[in-house]
Amino acid sequence: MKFNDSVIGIVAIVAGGAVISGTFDFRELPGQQFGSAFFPRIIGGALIITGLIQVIFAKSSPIMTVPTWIKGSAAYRASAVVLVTVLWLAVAANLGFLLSTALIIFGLSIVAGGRVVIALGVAVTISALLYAIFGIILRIPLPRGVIEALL
Amino acid sequence: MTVFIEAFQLVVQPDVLLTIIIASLLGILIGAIPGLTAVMGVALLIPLTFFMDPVPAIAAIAALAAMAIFAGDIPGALLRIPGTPASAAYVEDAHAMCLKGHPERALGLSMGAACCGGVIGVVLLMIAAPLLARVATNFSSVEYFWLALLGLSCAAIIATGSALKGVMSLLFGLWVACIGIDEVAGQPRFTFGSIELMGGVGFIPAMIGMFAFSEILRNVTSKTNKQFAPHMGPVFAGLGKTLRKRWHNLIRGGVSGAVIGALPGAGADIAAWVAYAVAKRRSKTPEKFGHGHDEGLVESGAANNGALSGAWVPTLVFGIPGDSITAIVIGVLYLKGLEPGPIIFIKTPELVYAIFFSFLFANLLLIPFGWLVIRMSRYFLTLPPAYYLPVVLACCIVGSFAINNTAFGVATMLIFGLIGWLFEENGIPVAPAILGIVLGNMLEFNFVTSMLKYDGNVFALFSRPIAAGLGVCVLVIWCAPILKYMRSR
Repeated sequence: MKFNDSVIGIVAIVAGGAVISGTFDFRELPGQQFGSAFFPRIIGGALIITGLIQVIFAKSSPIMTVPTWIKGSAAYRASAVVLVTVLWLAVAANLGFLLSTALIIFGLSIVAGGRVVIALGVAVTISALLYAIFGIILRIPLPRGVIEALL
Repeated sequence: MTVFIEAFQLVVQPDVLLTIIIASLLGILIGAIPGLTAVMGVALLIPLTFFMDPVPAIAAIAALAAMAIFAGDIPGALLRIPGTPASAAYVEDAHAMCLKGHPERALGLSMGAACCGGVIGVVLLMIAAPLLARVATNFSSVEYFWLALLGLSCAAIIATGSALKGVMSLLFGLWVACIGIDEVAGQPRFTFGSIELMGGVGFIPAMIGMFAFSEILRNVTSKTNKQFAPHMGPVFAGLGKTLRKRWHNLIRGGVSGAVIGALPGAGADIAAWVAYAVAKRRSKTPEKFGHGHDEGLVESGAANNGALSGAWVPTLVFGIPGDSITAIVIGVLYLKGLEPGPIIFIKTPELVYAIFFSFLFANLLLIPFGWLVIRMSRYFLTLPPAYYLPVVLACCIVGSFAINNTAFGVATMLIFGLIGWLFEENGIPVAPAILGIVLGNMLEFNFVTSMLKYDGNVFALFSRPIAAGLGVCVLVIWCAPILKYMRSR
């Protein structure tokens, strides 16, 4: 997803403005010249200036160039990477680490063109290995679910 | 001398050696798989280092980075897919050697050059770092402000293609560093009412997202050609003879790499390209470069690993990261309660020398492990991404979760991963943003402290000789793109 330089410049200007406006409700310490708002305002101002320069010197090109992969299977794979991560966030607390992690590894492998049996083997082995390293050896309180309750 | 012995004893502990070996093997695996990078490997290693003592934690990072950088030459030589941007400098020569039927020669030379360059870099690091640290003990907030700004300016303006986009990336990082409660006034900034954001954006999930998650997205959206398994001859045959013949390239590459790597913000990428250009200019046969010639490969290969060691000089001495990997190291040092800077050389010199020794070990291990990975490279190259990319994603998730034991870390990783991917798609470099996140608080703190000290007088920032020198350097770096533009008109 490639945007024209002037679009990037406009985004920087808007972001700079947002950063500065976000500092208006910062309370200042009495007698303090350089309070909490000082540094973010410099950042916001610099963003606006760089954005302006970017807009002024932008070369003419389409506003947005859609990459060729977006029409092929790569688009599904890229969406799947994001979706399985969101899925993990949504279900891990209920399903537990082992099941949710195995699920996302398996799902992503299949979408990426892996074979069912190998994908299943990789999913089970890796999620068990990660659980053993982080959950058991390093004692990280990973999300618990049905399988963890049996262990 | 006692410090050296103590440091050596710290490194030769069985757990530290085992950590170095495991991290090296992991580095080899990550570097040798096309598309997976050394920075990504280091980012994924951090959650594990969280639970280690400082010496094995840093040793693991050093070993993984050194191995992964070398192993990155394998897909570069065999498939013409550089494992790291630094490998891109000599990928044409290495690949041409492979096409001529000598992949073992190309990879053997890379291995030998990486080992020699790395050792030269470590020796220079051992000499330069303590000397600089002695000078740096006199530094005040003014010098640290300029140092931080110098590092950030180099990373944003010099080390990237588009200076303007580099600056934008840096400003984004600096804004992210502002998120959370302001240390001076106790004012929550840009937390949007979120309690999770009160402590700031988790540096490690952000790092994993920008370097590892975005890399997964790039991998799944890029075309992959069918990999082939080349025949490998004996790796060491004629290697010593060639390296002896090219000794001046090795030394020049190692030294220039270490010096360039030591400049804040200028990492192995610049070092390798500069070394390749120097080798070509000094060569009696410059026309052979790019067609499977060994001079450029040896010099830039040595510079590559030399820069890796050199980057630790500003990291340890000033707390200013030399490259993306050392930016991660700074985060780890803070997590371990060790504030990088000259004081670390006074308070815990044995720890600093232990880091140097572990770096030396990691570089020496390049020979046996390098041989192993060259022999096994055909298996790494034929690994289907459909199986290893989901595994990398699972590692990203568990790593981001493990830092604070909350799903918020995973969400942070996802958001920064998408931002990092969008950045790269639009030619905005990611490294300045990461350096901004790491150094933002240091920059603000030292600026505010200096201003309080000098009653708001901005010219006081130039009142001390070293500070004035650093300030002038920063101004020159800022003015350079403007002068370049005016000259082009």
